[in-house]
Amino acid sequence: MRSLVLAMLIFGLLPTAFFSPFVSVLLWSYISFGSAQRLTWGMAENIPFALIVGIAGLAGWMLCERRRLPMDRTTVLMLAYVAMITIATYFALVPDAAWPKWLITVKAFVFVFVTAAMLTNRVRIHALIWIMVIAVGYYGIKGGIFTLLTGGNFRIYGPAATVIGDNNHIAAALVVIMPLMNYLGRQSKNELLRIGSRIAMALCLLSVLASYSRGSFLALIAMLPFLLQHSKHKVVVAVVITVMLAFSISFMPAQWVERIQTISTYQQDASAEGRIEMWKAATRIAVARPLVGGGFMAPYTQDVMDEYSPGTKARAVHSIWFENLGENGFIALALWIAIAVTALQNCRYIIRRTKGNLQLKWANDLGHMSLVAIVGYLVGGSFLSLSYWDFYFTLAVILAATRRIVIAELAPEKPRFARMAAPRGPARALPQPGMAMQGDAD
Amino acid sequence: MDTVFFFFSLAGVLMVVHWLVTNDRAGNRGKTSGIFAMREPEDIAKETEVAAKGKFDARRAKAAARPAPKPAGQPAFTRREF
Repeated sequence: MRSLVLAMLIFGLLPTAFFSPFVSVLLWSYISFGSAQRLTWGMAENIPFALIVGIAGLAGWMLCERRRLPMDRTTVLMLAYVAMITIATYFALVPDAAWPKWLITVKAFVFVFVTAAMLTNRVRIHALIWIMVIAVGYYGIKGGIFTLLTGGNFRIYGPAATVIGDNNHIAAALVVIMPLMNYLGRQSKNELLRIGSRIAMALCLLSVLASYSRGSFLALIAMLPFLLQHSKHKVVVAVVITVMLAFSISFMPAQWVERIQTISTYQQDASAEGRIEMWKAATRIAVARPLVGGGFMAPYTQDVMDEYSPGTKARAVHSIWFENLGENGFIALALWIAIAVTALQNCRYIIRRTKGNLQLKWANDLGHMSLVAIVGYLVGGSFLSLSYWDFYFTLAVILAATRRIVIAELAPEKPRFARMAAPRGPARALPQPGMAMQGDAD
Repeated sequence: MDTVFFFFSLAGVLMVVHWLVTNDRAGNRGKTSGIFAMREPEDIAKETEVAAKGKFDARRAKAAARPAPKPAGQPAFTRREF
């Protein structure tokens, strides 16, 4: 049943993509971020929805939309990053495992670029954020209700065999979408949606806690001061957050408290110690091969570990920073950091330029909430292997697109026929005797 | 229950796609309509006005609750009050 409905929805909407190509971006984002096909059984499980929608999207972009890729700092850095990971994969220590992962990563980037090219107005940005929130928020809302019904005794997981399948990964994803839910609530005219977004945020908070992820708990704590700083009613928000956190934590069982308490005693925890060991191993690989790292999947290969970090068991690096460093080297890590810094700078720029402007209030809210979301990702991701998460890169291009819109909207309007309308006299009034000149008073 | 949530999310996607197709021409300054309609500057201005009016009313009520100032020419305190 699910399979049939999903297939009908995707194939039913595909023709729409040809006269409104941005529809394919929405469909691709939904499939890519939420992995909806993983929730079905039967035929839909084997249909390559992402590929079909991706081809339709590319065709729609080239034939109907015909917009050029905006060459701003975000796009240029992403192109350089893709080039760098390609070089790193060419010199990978385990090419057989590296090229398939490269293909998945580059496919995701291609569609991030298509998204960047087609994000031309606020309606598209708003619709894309709705899709991002629906795709990931589904797991948060469902998980939150499940936690309420079961008293938090069971862990929350994402869809199996996907980027957000692991309990830590789904928790980090939920931490990132909570501020975006807040943005949607702030910007929606519909009262039901505004209330619904608050309820969804509370359920996502419960899901994050019920994931038993210590990294995401730290991300949540790190995010709160930023959320307070970027909220309009600071006291109200502080009280609401404190009450919600206190209720959620008191709701969780004793085993959850024990798990979270191991943050302070990480030296005695095998999982935390293993992560630190992997960070050291990734650094050793990068130091030995500073320009290209070990290539994709190198830290997952025991032979590589035996050569560069004897005694370390091959596994996931569990840090966005060290994963980039170990797999792609110092240059790729620098580019990746530059993308993050650019995204944060875009947030600051948008917030500063749109302050007090009612016409651009949506951009101001988006800037505030995206900044909180990125901080959540960077802190939560410090303990997870989520470096190549396309959701985050899509958020970065959304911010770049918002910045472009803000610049265009704030630019002084030029008359359409400025040259024709201009008087034919001298371009500047010549100074007359006795005329006060600028700077005379100084 | 799980299936119901799944269908809700699919319905959400369908509604967002419909909203995009019908509002795409609104661009950056036009008004949006439908279930996902965005708040327009007029809405925000109206809310700000209501909030400001609420603050003003509260201040006026507070002022009204204070004892009225004595008419000019009268001493600040009568002997009895003192």
